[in-house]
Amino acid sequence: MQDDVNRWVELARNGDPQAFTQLVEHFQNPVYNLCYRMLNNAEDAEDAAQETFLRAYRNLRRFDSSRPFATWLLSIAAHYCIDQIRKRRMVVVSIQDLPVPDLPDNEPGLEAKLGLKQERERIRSLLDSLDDVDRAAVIMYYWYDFSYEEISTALSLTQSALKSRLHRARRTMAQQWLNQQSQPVPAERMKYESPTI
Amino acid sequence: MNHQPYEDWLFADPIEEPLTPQQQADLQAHLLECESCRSLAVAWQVVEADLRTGDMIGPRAGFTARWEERLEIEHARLHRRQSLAMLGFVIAGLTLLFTSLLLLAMPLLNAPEVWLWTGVYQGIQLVDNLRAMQESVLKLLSGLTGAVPRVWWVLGLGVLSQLVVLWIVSLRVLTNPRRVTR
Repeated sequence: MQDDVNRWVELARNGDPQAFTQLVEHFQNPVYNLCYRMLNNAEDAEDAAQETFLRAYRNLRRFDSSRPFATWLLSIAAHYCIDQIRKRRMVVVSIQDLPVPDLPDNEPGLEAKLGLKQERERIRSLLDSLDDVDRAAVIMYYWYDFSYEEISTALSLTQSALKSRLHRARRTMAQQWLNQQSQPVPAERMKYESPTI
Repeated sequence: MNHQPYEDWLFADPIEEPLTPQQQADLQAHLLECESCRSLAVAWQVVEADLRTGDMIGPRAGFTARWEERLEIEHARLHRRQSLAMLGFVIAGLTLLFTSLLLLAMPLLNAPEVWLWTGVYQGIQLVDNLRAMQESVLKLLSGLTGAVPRVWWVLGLGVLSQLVVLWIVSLRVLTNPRRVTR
């Protein structure tokens, strides 16, 4: 598959638009997943993923072919999402206030869908507790199995900075989980439950 | 109680920063006696498991088609921007040219009668030159029509019209935005 990717990249660099379409088809899920985990919103994630591919298309000639294409592409996505989060911070909308969006892909059954939604909500709240760059580093590490070297290149960090960021992120997430465990069930949830309980 | 370096070890990456057997033993001993670190360790285990089993979320179906649409819009926008830039460049060039001409003609504007007579003189010169050119071309053509056979004229005109068509087609192909198809 890596050979195919290299071939598509080379063809796209030589001006073959269909080869780039193949790259979009191949990398749509990883790019979208990163954007979704970063931005927590299906619409924003779609927009960010589309923008990522456009930026990659425009800057394809600057891509260093000695590096993996996936790392370069996800680096564009991560930087774009970090910028979006920083812009979003200026507008007074808290991520915490946003509802958990309906998931874009089809789930087999209602129970499985609910379970998946709960799991995604749990992960979302953990990732929400992190700083934007830390969040990107965690996503790249746990979802894409990137090495420290790849993440530090993608996020323009030194390896020691990345190491300390990941340490801090892990600690923050563990602390967040502990805080969630010690919190009482919110009143909003109670209204859907039986009054006898 | 001092939680360092145990806390660092607790959140160290097992692949990138593996602990030595001694460090692991020290960490285990510390966890047995420190409740705060123990609860953090348990929390981290749960969180890490959640992260490692987190699924890959994909976009709605038709992502590539939507991207192609967006690329076309982007191309059209770029095309429009380039046309505007070209127009701006031409307008700026013409403004510069006319300003320079105006500056050169400034002394003439101060003396309009000189400007007027110069204009009349230049006009007469131009008409004379055009007449001379017309006579030369007519002489040349009358000489050529006798010298070159009629078949060559037809062939020459045919090639010329083909070249015009080729020029128009290439201009259209080069100026139209590229369309990406699947």
